[in-house]
Amino acid sequence: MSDASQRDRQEFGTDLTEVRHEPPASPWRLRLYVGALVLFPFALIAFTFWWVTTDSYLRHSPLPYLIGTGYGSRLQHADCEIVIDGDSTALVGVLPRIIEQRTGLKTCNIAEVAGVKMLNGMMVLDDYLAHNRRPQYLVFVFAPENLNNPNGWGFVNAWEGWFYRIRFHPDAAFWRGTISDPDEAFANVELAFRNGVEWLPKHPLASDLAHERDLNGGHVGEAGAPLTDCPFDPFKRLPDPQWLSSLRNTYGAGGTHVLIDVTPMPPCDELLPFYRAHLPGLIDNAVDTLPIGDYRISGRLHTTDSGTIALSERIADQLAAVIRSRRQQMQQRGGM
Amino acid sequence: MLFSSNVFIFFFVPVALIGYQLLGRFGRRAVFGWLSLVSLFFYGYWNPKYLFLLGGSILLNFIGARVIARVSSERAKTTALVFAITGNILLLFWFKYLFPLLHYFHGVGWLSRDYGSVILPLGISFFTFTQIAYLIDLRQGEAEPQSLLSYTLFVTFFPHLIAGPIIHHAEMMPQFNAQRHRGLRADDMAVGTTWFLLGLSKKVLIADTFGPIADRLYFDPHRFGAQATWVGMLAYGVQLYFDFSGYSDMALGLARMFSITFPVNFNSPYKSTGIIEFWQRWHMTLTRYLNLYLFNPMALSMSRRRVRLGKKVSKKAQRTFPGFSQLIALPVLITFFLAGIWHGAGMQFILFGLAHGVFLTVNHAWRVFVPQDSKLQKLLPTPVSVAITFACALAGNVFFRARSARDAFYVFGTLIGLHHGESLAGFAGIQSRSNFALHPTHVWFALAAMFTICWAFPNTQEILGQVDESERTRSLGMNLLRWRPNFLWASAMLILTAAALSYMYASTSFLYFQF
Repeated sequence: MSDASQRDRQEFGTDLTEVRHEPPASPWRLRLYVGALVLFPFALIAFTFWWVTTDSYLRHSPLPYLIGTGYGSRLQHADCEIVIDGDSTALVGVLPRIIEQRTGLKTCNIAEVAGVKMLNGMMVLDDYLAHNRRPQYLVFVFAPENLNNPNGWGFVNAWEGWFYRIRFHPDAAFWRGTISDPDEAFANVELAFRNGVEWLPKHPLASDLAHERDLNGGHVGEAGAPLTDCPFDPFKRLPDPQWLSSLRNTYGAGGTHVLIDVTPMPPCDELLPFYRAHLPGLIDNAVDTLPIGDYRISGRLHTTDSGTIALSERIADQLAAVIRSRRQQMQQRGGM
Repeated sequence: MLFSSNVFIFFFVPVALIGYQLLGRFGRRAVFGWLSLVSLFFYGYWNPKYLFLLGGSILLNFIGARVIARVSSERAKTTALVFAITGNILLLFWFKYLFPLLHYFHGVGWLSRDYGSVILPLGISFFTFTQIAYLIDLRQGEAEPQSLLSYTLFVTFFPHLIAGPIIHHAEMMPQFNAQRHRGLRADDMAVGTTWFLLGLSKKVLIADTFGPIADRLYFDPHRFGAQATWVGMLAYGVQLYFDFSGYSDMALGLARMFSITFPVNFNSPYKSTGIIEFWQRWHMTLTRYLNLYLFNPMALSMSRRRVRLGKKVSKKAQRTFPGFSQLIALPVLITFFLAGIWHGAGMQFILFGLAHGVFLTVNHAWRVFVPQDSKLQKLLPTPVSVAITFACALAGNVFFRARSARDAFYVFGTLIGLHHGESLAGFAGIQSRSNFALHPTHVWFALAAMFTICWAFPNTQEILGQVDESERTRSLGMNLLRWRPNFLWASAMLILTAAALSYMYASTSFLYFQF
């Protein structure tokens, strides 16, 4: 008997550590057990690859923006005259309704969160252009640190990008990427599995929230308290003039007028002077500010309802001025 | 490559196991070659450049071993051993200490130029220690000369390459040599996979959940008040325990999949009733290493010196102040001073080593000067001894984790109420699964639950039936928790695996990888 057993018998009258011995397991049982343990992780990955492509996967998701992922890829013959594209600051910050009111032109917001752009570049916009008439005006709205090639935005989670890709473009390039960087790809699958399992017990979202993008021209609202202080933002990244120029050249063909705007920053943002020094000349609006209370705590430069209205009105006014100027130019050309 | 990474779990391990099974029929050399190859790939995946360093270290030590084995005179053998050990220590010094030292000299103005830094090659301490131990064992006749292939496998076998356990040659290679049936065995695979997955769960689900709380505290300890500092310090106690326990379980489980049994490296250290016992349960193979190659030679040298001076070295002599100081206290303090330096180039690591040296000295003094039947012993019933040992371990952890000695002392000050700062609200913004740190009830309950697991329940090797009955600790629920390869256990393991994989995207490197 072990020392521990003896001590237990003396102190407690019984042996707390005593172990009943059982006969060893049969070989087939061991093989079955090992097989289950070894194959299960692979089965889980394969199941999740399939699960995320089904509609049932998103049924209980509490995230309207995720339900609406790939909105621009789904649109067919929407033929918007103004198209808003960009990162999450555009997705939550630009209301097509306000732009339509001020310009009289049909407007769609096909922006996506940064992860979608980071992994897939301008795929959503390209899809949109493939299935719709070219817009007269295309406005890119990006946070100041995102005015460069999205492939280099290493600071955001790319899960939404993976999610978009497997649902809309599970092509050979996607599978090649999965094989070449299995750590990243499998991490996305595992996160997708966890999200799916966590959502299962939740009630499905109300219909208006679940179809928010369809109902609001692509805009997604957001919850979250307003900011009271500027958080520390490590988002100091220089703009890439070449990339911005390629956006204008690629998408400015066929009569589309391209505008590249930067999302306003709060006045207390310590990087405001940096971006004011580096962005003019590359963008079509000013590096402007909104009060700190017009931003939410939930995401970088994500605007509140009042901030969204203010930002949308500024873009609408900018577009209205551009439209007027173009009309004047056309009239002058016609008069000559 | 991290044990808790997708590429390791979904690609590396399956390929290594399949190759092992297929090549088993082609004999020992094929198996050794395959396992060496995959182990080198495992190491090179992090940074292929450092394969040259590992390869060079193996080659030079192999040559050193050859010389020790071939020369006939004892003096020449010793000279070769000294040369080889010096070479290993210089390598370690170059990568681990030289540049931090030069940086320090630059900082205090002794050097005008800052020489920058070099990246610490992964596992350099562990593969260097493993090889030094082999050379000494070979010199003492406790190990056999090996072929280059066999030696390479001994050093590089991936389950122990990066962070131990520190293996003696005699513990692993005879097992490889003795395997008549080469290939996977269902019983070893069953134990090995269960062991590995339990370790993975400890690391991903527990250590990585508590880690961000500790990280937040130690990133800027000046921000926090007493409650948050206590929470952060205890969270680090949980993180370090489950991180290293999880790593050890994974290493032992992986080796077992190849039918190799490694020595246990972690054995419920928080159950220890003294700091001596704590070090016999925490990083056990490192303690054994320190004992064999630092403490014992120093104690022996002290004994010889006393003998030369005509003084006694008996147990009775140890009970005198000079005898205790020379035979126990000094060797312990020097050993742990060096152990502290091994953990890192910084004053906080030296203080960590010295603190443990002092704790051990006090524990030895108690053992030597207070007889077992003394009334004083009754002042320390088991729960009190466990609590004191735990407090000492936590105090050592503060030096171990703090970014500087100054930060460590600030943490101690806050713990006793000398400084004020933010409450638990200071933990706002950490990853969502660690958000329980914001609520006093939740965080204290979570910490209590974790320490209850550490103190009351059996450890992994006990659950898996991998320890002798005499070595088992006193734990609750042993019969209920004892592993059996049945439906219930398989189901529980699948749920744990699914949970661990779900959170693996946020998994961080193992804490001992930095050494």
